[in-house]
Amino acid sequence: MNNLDLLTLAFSVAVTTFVINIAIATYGIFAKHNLVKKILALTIFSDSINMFSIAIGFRVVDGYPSPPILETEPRNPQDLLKFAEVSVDPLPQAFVITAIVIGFSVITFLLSLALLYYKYYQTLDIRVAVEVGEHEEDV
Amino acid sequence: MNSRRIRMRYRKRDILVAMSLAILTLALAMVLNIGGLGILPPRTLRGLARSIVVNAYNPWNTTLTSYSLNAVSAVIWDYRGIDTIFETAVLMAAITGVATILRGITDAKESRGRGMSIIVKSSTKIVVILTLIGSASLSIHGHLTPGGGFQAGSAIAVTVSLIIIAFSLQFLYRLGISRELMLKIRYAALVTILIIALVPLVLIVLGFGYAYILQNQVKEDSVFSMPSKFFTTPLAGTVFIFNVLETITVASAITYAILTILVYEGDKSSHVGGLNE
Repeated sequence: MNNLDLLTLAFSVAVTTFVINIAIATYGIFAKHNLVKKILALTIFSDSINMFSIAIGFRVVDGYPSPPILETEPRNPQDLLKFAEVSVDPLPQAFVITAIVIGFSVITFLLSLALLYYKYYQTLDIRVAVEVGEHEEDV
Repeated sequence: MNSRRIRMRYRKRDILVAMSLAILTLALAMVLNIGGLGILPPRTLRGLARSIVVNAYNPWNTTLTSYSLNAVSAVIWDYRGIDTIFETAVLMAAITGVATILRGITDAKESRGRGMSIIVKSSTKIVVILTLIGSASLSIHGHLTPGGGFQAGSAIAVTVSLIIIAFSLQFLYRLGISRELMLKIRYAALVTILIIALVPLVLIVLGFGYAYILQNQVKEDSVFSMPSKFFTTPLAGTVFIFNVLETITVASAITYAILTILVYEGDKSSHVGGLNE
């Protein structure tokens, strides 16, 4: 087993882990009854997807891949082409920082809604609202 | 009877959820297995990524470059600038939503605690100063080294929560940081971002030729250019300006959210949103 095979195997294991993580987090969003636990599952969900996006931006090069940042100003066009030979993909990184900020906004908003729910029902259990709703329907 | 009906419904729903998740996992695994995302891990750079990496700092192709050594910052604020502007708008909308939902609370001005011990306070002071210096470097060098506006803003917001934990909320108010001030700073920085995005249009108004919204450097049919060098240091035009402004925006937004949720939690007596009336 040479180096590349080992890398591919490790990458497959990582991708499988991300997919399983996404599935478990989705299950947590649906199955947990506590609002804060639902929100925690949502953060795990989005972070798994972000990690997955970063991972598919990685690449195999001879030697070590470089981050998409030039260390010094290039002196001639050949420097840029050489840089493109070793650099990883900058696009997933740029998208992920956008996704992180939007995830932060959504989670802040959801947490304030959870605070309001707690203020109204004195609990974070989502079933209480359903039971109250059923009761009101019966009345 | 009623609660049993509800429990039965939850059980049926759990089975449905588990089944759909199994199908989702299998489908994702299938797609990845037959190469829906190409060979993983990739051996070559994708075409779009290659064009961005080559053109991020390319003085020999002046119509496509952004003079930013950091390709990620170039993507965020130049090549996909509108995306980031709207993302900042989403952040603003979320903070406005928090302010609307948790309205009716007041900043408690009375003293509430003296903070932790002198050891914790002294070490917090050192850490806060170091973090502030680090985030300033992240923000100002965001186009030269790894970093950028969001990262720097989050780091500044972390120092605020450190101060609240080690000292007290009262100490923060004494420093002059309040929710109203944060909201004002936030809106001022956002409006400045929009103004700088619209600055190139002045050329059209004055009749000097074409220009584009969010334009950074010279384009094919437009001679407008933001400053690309500060003496000998690359400045990357709008990338540098937007990084600094975004730092202010994100720092004030997260500080506002922290303060709102914290004050709400501490203030049990106030009523929120008119629900209890």
